[in-house]
Amino acid sequence: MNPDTTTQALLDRIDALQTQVAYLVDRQRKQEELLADMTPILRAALGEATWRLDALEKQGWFAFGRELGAIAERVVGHYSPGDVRQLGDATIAILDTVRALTQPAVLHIAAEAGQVLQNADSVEPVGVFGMMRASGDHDVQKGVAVMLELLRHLGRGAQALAQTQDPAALRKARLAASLGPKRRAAVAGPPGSNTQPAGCAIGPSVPAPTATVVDGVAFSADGHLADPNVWTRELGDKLALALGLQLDPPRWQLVDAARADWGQTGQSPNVRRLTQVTGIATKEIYALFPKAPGRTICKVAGIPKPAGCL
Amino acid sequence: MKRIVILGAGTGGTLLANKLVQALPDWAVQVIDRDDAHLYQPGLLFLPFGGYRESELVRSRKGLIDPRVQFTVAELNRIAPDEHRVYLQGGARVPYDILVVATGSRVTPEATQGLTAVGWRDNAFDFYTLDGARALRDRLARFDKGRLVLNVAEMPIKCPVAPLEFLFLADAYFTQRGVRKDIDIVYATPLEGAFTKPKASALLGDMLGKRGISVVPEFAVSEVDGAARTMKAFDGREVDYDLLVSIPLHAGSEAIARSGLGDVGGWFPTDKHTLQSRHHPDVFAIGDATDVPASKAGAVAHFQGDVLLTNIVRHTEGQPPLPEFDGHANCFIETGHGKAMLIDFNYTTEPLPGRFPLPAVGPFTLLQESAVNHWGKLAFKWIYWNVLLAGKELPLDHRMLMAGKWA
Repeated sequence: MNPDTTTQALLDRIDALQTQVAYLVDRQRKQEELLADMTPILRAALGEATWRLDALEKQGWFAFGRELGAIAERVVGHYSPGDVRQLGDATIAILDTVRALTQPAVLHIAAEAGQVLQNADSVEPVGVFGMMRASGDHDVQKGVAVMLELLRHLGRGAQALAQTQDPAALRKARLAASLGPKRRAAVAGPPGSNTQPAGCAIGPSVPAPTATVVDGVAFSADGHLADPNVWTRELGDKLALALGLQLDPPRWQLVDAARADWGQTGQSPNVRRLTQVTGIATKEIYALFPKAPGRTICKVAGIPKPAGCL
Repeated sequence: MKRIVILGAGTGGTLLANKLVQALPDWAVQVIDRDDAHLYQPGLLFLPFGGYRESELVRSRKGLIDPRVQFTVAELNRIAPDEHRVYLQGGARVPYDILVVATGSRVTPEATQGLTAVGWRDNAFDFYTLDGARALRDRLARFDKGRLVLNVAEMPIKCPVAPLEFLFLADAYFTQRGVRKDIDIVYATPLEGAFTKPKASALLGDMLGKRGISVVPEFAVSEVDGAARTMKAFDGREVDYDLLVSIPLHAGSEAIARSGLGDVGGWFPTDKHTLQSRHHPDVFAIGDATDVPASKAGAVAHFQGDVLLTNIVRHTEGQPPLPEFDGHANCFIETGHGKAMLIDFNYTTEPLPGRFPLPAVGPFTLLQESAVNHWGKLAFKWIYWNVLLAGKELPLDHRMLMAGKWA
């Protein structure tokens, strides 16, 4: 092959590549620009969304939604798709019924009937003669007529129903009705599932530790003196006794050292720090304060729980 | 040109260097670290269970730092705040106008008597180092019966939820291998319960119980006898093991100790709200190195980074720092079988159930297991390498918000 042709081919290739590289570099720059511009926007948008959603949550929208979801879940578990389809077919009939029942005049009658039921305990029992006497009352006569008409309609409806359903289906329906509650139990989620209200997510409930006051001395939730400045040596003795400890000179040395160190550094010492400032070996400290020495010494010294318990 | 020197190129040091070099173009920014290998520490949790390849977990520190930042590989000797100087091993001196201590924390298994003697890396392991996690992976693959004990030597430790995650993942791992019934899993902890905060502790304790993992609380280990495979506590209690997974005692950098600047654990005294040194106004600190009572975790360093950037810029302008840091931390807690929980808390508010970051929407669920949380944890690796360390803005508030929490 002619070397000139080869060189030319190479140059052409480089030319083509150059265009491609320029394109890639440009695209890269655009992407970086987009990212740089979008990051603060995204940050602002997320911040805004956080506060808006927080406001909605504080108003109780999401808790409400979760409860609605739970109700919907129960409905879904209780009714089969067939039931829902029938419900859909009957929508017009149901709405007609609701409309008929909610006419002002009907509602008025229902409200009055409700009043009567509410005052049912003040009504005197009525015997056969009472009934006979009442049958002369025009209002009662009208009421009996309405009841009879209602009974007639009910009877007619029941007969029609019996003709359209075969006995086997009826028995099945009755059985299903009696098993209803079981079917519902099966769809209720396991404990801790997402349908649980917020507070249940924490697991076994532990009584929240609270601040206490004993003999006029205030303690914080973790059992340490609330205000280290009210501490006295007498109180130290009492605090130790309450923990089943008698403060002898070596124990006092540790308690005093803890208090001094706290005064100096503003932080409660842990066992390692106590070893360092007193020269007492860790093992000895454990012999003097067998259970959780760091915390115990600080408790007796009236200073907060040592850090490092983070 | 004035100079900011950052000691340490871990999570905090790297992200802060990248932020500062943007915000203070007239300042020279220098970062010093002992090596050029940045480890993705959250990955160490998955490594023992065969979850990640090692090559995914280590990158060049230099490659993660803005080229305008001067990156120096050197071992620190000591900090001399009164001279405004840092001394390196070998005698070199680095002057600074503002210093940021980002020296992190290290594990010191040798501090527990007997732990690194007989049986170390044979039947006793740590997983907080790459070597340890790798060795444990090989041992776990062969472990099919006996008693596995996870022990936390003493608080504080990095990522306080990691022990729980390890237990959950171990339970899932052994179950998957069909050997769970032949293995006892025991958690011996110096804490009173599963975790440090009451509500989460009760919930997590319950989750351990459901998985048949027993807890030995308030166990302050004093020595390990690798030959007898027994761990002894200061109060005389003993726990036997076939396989010990230790989360060893943590300590701050040796350079801080050599400089006489640390507390008993070697942690750097730092104002818990401004992140300024409590003794030297030109010195600030970030991440695990501080003594602030927050979790030692990357998320904390990240939230501190936002506050520290503001406060260092203010300091260069002669303004006092703002007490903006609230102890905010959030952690994914892997619970095994492709699920995880998320907790979000700070100095004063313990982890609460709810949704994060958007109320009611999430997509993450707080204090509740979900697959979405697990995906979040997996997706976090890309965010860590490409967004978080680069010091780029994440659409998250550095303060802990009560929005979305069911108090």
